[in-house]
Amino acid sequence: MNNDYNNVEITENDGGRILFSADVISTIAGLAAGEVDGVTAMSGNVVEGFTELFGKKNLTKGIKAEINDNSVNIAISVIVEYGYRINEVCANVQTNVKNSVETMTGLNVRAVNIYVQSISFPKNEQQAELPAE
Amino acid sequence: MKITAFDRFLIVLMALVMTMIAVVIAGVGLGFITIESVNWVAEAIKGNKVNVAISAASALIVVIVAIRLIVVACGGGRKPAANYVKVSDTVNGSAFIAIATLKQMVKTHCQAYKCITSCECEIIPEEQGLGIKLILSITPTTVIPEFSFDLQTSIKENIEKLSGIFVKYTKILIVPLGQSESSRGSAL
Repeated sequence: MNNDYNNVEITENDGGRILFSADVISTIAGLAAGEVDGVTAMSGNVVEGFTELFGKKNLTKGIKAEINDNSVNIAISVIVEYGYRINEVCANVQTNVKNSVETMTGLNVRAVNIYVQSISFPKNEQQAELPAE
Repeated sequence: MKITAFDRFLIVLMALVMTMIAVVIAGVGLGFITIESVNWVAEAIKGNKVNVAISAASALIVVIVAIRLIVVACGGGRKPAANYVKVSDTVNGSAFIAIATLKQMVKTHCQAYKCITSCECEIIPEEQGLGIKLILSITPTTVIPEFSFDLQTSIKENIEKLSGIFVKYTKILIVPLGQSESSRGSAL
């Protein structure tokens, strides 16, 4: 089996080979994380944001996948919408990403670490309300 | 050392310089740039003290930039612990929240109070939780004991509810509007 950090190879029993790159895992993870309620967007760096200025949607923005043997560690930087419980959103992201990656690639997801970089506000509500008494 | 946006700019600059040098070398090799023109440039630099000084200064800047980039590159990778607070640790992995995000949440909460005219916030990561320090300016008609108790209670509930992180304490310092930074610092 190829243990390169950029590619992982799964050898099927009938002798067929599947070889794919870490970007595939990042893309799957990014799409799975984006499906979760409360996640506004992934939080990327300056270069990733710059490429989006040219209209190209970056599906791996804010996602880092590290492949080791037959397992993968994923780090995701997200922006969460204000009002959602962050611990619940993070737990849902971890579950959804783990299930999606394991189902679609057959890899073992060792850990999905979430970094909440910022909070976003809905456009029609720019100010928080006091909690109800 | 952490790679900053300025370091990334320097990397791009160095890449452009190396590309130009590579183009010149390739041009000389392929015959597009003649040796005579390269010699002409060298003679122009040598013959004039100002040009020599400019060339030497440019070379020195390139060396300094290269050394800085080497130091930054050897400085290690990203260490999130100093700027993040852990939210949860489960079998599926860990979740962290940026301290800047927590500050944003606290300031947003304080904005809901009409009597607060200005608000500065500091988040202190503690063992199994965090502390919040607020420096506030308020309107003169505010009843301070009631207001501060209400604010401490509501901030604690709000942050704990939204982030799941235990708020150990919320310290409040009320200062006149426009008071200087140096007079605030040590009170909390």
